[in-house]
Amino acid sequence: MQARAVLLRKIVNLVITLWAVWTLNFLLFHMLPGDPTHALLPPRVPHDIAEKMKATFGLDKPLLEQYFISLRTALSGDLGYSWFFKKPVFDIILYRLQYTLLLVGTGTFITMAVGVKLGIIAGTNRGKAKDITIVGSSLAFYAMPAFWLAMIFLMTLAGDLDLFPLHGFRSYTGTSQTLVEEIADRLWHMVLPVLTFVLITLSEFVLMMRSALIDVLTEDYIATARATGLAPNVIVRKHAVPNALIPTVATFAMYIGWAVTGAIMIEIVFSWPGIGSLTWQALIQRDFPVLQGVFLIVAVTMLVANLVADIAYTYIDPRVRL
Amino acid sequence: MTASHVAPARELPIPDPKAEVERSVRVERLLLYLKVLRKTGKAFSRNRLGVIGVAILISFVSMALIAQPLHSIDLIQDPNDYMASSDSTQILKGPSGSHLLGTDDKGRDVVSQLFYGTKNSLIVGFAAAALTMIFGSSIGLVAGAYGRAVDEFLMRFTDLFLVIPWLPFAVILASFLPPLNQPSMYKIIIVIGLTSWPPSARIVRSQVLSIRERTFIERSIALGAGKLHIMRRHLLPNVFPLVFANAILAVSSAILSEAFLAFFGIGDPTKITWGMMLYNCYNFGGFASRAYWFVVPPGLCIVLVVLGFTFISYALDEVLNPKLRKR
Repeated sequence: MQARAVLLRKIVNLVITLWAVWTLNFLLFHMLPGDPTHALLPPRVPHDIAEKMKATFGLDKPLLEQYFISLRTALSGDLGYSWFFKKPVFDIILYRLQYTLLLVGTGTFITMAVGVKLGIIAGTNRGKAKDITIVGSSLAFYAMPAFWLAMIFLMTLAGDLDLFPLHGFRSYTGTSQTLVEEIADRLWHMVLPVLTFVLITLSEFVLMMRSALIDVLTEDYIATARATGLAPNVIVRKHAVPNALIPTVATFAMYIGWAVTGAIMIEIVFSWPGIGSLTWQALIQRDFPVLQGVFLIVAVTMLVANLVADIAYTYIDPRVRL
Repeated sequence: MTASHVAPARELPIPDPKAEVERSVRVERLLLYLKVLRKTGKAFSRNRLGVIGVAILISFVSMALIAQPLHSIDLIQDPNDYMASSDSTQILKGPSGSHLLGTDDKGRDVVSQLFYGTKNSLIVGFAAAALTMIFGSSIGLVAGAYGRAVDEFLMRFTDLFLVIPWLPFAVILASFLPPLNQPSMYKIIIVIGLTSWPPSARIVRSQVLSIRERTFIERSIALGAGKLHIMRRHLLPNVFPLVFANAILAVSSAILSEAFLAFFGIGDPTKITWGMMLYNCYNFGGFASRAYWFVVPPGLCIVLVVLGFTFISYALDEVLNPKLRKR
């Protein structure tokens, strides 16, 4: 019963934070210097046409009225109309989101699997050559700006060696492809973006898993397990790793923040048509509705991910109270 | 200066017992600090990673310091002085005797840019990290010390900043800062400071919450100490090591953030930083014509500096945190 009350409080908090994000979002974009009609109309149009345009979009109304209108429409799932793409923002974001989810989802899956595995190897070989190599290289990738790594990959692997495509998510050959060919082609385009993503986000899981494992390995019950004569690898696999995995789940929320920024950079350099390059285009075009929509979508994603991580935490570890 | 100027000469100076005690306490405390510092320094110097980190840091700081002197003896050019440094016959030329790391898209020497870039990147990194820690630790301190509604409000505020997509938010914030439509380095510093404090606020708050429960705070409250006194005299000194350790990581993430922001196009084109160099590479042909000499060095510098700071923070953690010591 108590857990349910706490969960309810968390959800209420989430809604409040969401509302605050929305409000901040609204204020930010309405106080932004620069007139949006400049982005919409060709230069030197008569003044009254600009005024008419403002009236069409409701930009001539008082700020408070605009706020309530936008809140109401947002609640009904309408995020506005893109000034640059001339399409509803919701549709654009939904379309772009597929590509980001494809990139980030695949990347995260690989990162988690590889990161946890490497973290276990490093943690059980603490201080040895394997540990130092793993920790050192994952830290080195953590230290790289995502866009730089992407540029280097493009220059070497795609440019000089011509092993991978230079940009985009598929090739435009003009000839029709069979389904298998198309899948292969798309996978081919995914290799470098996903590889870059995995490498820059890897350290989060490696380091977390390693330090959690080292911590767990000093616990008394591990000593007991040793005393009973269990094989070392059985102790690690059966007794230490499940417990060490717990804090790794908790870092997930922080990881998402890191991944979003990294993904934006990677998408820009690889011309991947996801949310990241959408943000970039919207910023350049001063397409405020799209930017607002992106803000909201990312905030919702992160809030929900946080909540899920919290709940998952209590399920995995009964010692933690929500 | 002496008391005889104020007090009449006949009167014997009456020793103030309270001041005496306070002074001796202060001396004791100072000695203790020194002892701890020396011990920590010794343990630190035995840590190989820490020493490597410090070495990296020292070499970059000295690179930043000699940028101006080297320019004054004409060994390197000031890339910010566009007229003097660019050469239209030397656009994107590979490494040679006169340009050890080649030239960029405007015919400017890459080595010179690295020296000046180091200077500006480090300035941004340190200044932004200082701002971050000031914002973060004051919010964390107040939230932890006051608790209840204040805590709740400040933590919601922190959460709000944590979930906003960092990069677009920073870019938009930058467009608010005066002077408008005029990029400058100070804007980048403020923007990084304003956007990257939430994690440190959370860390400081949780530390404050644990310190607050200790008996010496209770005793202090029983003696009638106010919130401000407790924050200043008890909480702040106790969270300071944590703040310091965090500040080191904050510098490295500020340098990375600067690179991101510059790459996004809101850097100051008249102040070369590593990020600005990469921006120029990406947008003005260096990247497309695969000018490795121009693309690789700034990125390597970022990697090295970030690694250096990370090593230092790891070493400090190992030295200061007895739980992590090897058994």
